[in-house]
Amino acid sequence: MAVATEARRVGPRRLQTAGSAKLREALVGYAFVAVPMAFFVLFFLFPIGYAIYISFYDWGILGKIGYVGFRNYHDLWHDHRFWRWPPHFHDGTAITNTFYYTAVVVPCQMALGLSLALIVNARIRGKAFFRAAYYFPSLTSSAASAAIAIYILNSGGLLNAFLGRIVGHPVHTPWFGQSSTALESIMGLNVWLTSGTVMLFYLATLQSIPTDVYEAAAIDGTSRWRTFRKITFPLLRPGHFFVAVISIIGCLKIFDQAFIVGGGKGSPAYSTETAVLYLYQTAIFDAQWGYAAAVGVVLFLIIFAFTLLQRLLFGRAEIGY
Amino acid sequence: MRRPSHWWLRLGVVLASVGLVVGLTAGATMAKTGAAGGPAVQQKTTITFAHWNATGAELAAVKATVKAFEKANPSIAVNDISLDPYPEGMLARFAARKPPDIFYVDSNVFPDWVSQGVLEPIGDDLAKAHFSTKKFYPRLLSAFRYKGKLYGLPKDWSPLAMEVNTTALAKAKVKVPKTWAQLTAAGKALKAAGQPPMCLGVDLARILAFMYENKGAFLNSSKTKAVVNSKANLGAVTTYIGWLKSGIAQTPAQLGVSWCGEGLGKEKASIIFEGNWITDYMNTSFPSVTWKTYPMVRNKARGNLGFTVSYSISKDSKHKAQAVQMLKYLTGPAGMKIWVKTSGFLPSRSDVKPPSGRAIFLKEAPITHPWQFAPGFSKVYDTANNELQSAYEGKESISAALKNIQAAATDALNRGH
Repeated sequence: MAVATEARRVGPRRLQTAGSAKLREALVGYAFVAVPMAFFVLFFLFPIGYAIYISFYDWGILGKIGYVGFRNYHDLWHDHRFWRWPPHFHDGTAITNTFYYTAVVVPCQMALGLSLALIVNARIRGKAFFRAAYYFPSLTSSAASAAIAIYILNSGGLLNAFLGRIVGHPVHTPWFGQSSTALESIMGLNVWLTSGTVMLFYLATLQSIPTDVYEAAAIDGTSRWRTFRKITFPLLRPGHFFVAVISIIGCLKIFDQAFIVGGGKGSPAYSTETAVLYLYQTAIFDAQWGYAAAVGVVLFLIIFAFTLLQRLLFGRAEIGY
Repeated sequence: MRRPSHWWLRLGVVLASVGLVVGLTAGATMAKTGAAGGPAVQQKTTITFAHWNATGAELAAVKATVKAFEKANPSIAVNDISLDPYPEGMLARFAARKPPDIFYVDSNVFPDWVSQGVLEPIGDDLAKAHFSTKKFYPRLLSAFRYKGKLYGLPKDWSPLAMEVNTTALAKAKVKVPKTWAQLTAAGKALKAAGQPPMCLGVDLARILAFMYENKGAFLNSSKTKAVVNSKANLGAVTTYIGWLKSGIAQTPAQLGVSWCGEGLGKEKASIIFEGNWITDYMNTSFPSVTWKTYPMVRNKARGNLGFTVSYSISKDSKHKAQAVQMLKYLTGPAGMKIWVKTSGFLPSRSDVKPPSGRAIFLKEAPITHPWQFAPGFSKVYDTANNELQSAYEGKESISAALKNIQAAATDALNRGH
């Protein structure tokens, strides 16, 4: 009540200074965002700009060696370890490996995540337990899981022992040790590892779907599959968009498992060479920081283009019920 | 009374809290810097020494030599830092212009670092101090020369040798092989007797030794031209991969071990080719395995690869005189004696006795080529290993792999620095 009286009391003055009141509010707002903005500029925008700047130089350990214009980009265009035209399956270039990885992992992640979300969203006993259990792998650090997977997928490891039981004779496949299965093993590992997070995103979207559409469908006697296909799946569109963007970006940036499995060298036979790993090798082992920055800029453009493309394909992510 | 809801008050509170956070952080940083400046009062110069430790014995050796050096030089204190991963840690320190004063440099990264100007030439300082480099093995010393100047002194080294599980060979009733032909025969005998095979990594750091044994090479002697794509190398790689393909040898991945030394220790491999680092590893981890070291096998010639690491001084060091003092001590007879005794590594000077049981390794010195290429070759080494693996998996022919390695090496030489 006191507030109301006061507001009435200062009414005329407020009218007089409506503009400055807006300004005040804006200033307070900016003061609040100033800190995160400062960090954003300092740790994101500035490094991105600086990386673009560096990519036009021959840049060594001690800094600038000389301006080279577009030479780093020109060299990268002709770099057969980065990409090759025409690309072909298992050609071992960083770009092919990264895209192959993304093309397999993203759909698998989404399918598995959605299935898990549907399961834990259903009216079943021990729902909370399953939600926790399915989310659990996501809590593991990717480095730790890769290190353990090295043991499990070893030629004398647990997986081979298990497979040996099934097929009836000893199996000694070095899953990470041969180029035909190394990247695929990392794919499997990552799909499992991230499915919990994807499940969580889908679960949130699932629960935002109003129940009346389901009630209407039930009254019409729609089958469960048809309900899923015609109602749930389309209404999950914001979820699809969000998950697709997040996992494509995540996949294009694949580094840690590839680094651990291939010893940072892309081995065996280039199969674990990814774009970010290539950037790392160029920067750290060769100390060619200008060239590495060029790799980074190209990777940024690729990820940016993909996100734009998805935005166009999925249209506006909002949906009306 | 004014109500505290006024906009400027709110703004003030926000700004004050930001200021508080920033101020506290800055204060904490200054407090730290102030503390670090403390020891300067005691007229003692502190120098930083960066290293890695491959084994527990190596860390003990670092501590022992540093302690002995500090005792002999009371005016110098040494702050030793162990970096893992090493090149990453060092590059960040070089780039920040705050590198350690004295540090390890692997012969393999030496060309990159020296060509980028982060190392200090030490020849003149050593000459002024009348420190002779004559007792160092010349091939090891040459690994740390660049354009006629010396940029480091080797701390120790190791060539490859052949390590054999003597029980397995006795069971297969076969003599220790000395040539490639005998090695093939031994491999077949081991297989026939059901004994573990030999272990071969698809790694240039092993295959290159066999290339030298076949009178091949990687670069010409002046390191200006790649000579990978040669008949001699084709023969060497064909034989090496042939051993793997025929099943008388297996890769560490096939054996389910991380390197061949682990294969020998776990008795999954009977013949391996590793350096002196195997000695301490086997003695501490697998003391019950019966094994012995023999010279590298030979074919058309004797040939071997030597791995060495230097102590070098950074160009941006602020205590160069003290760092040179330490370098002289570490590589001098007194320091190296302590080093060799504690670490079990091979001395890089001929006037320091090696630890017992290492005679075989030392005899390889005259035929050993340093594991070193040219600036920008880290990527070539990766390419070589990936190409060799592709050839081993049958994804391409061995000659195609050699051609691709040749192209990558030529490209790196042309880029140069």
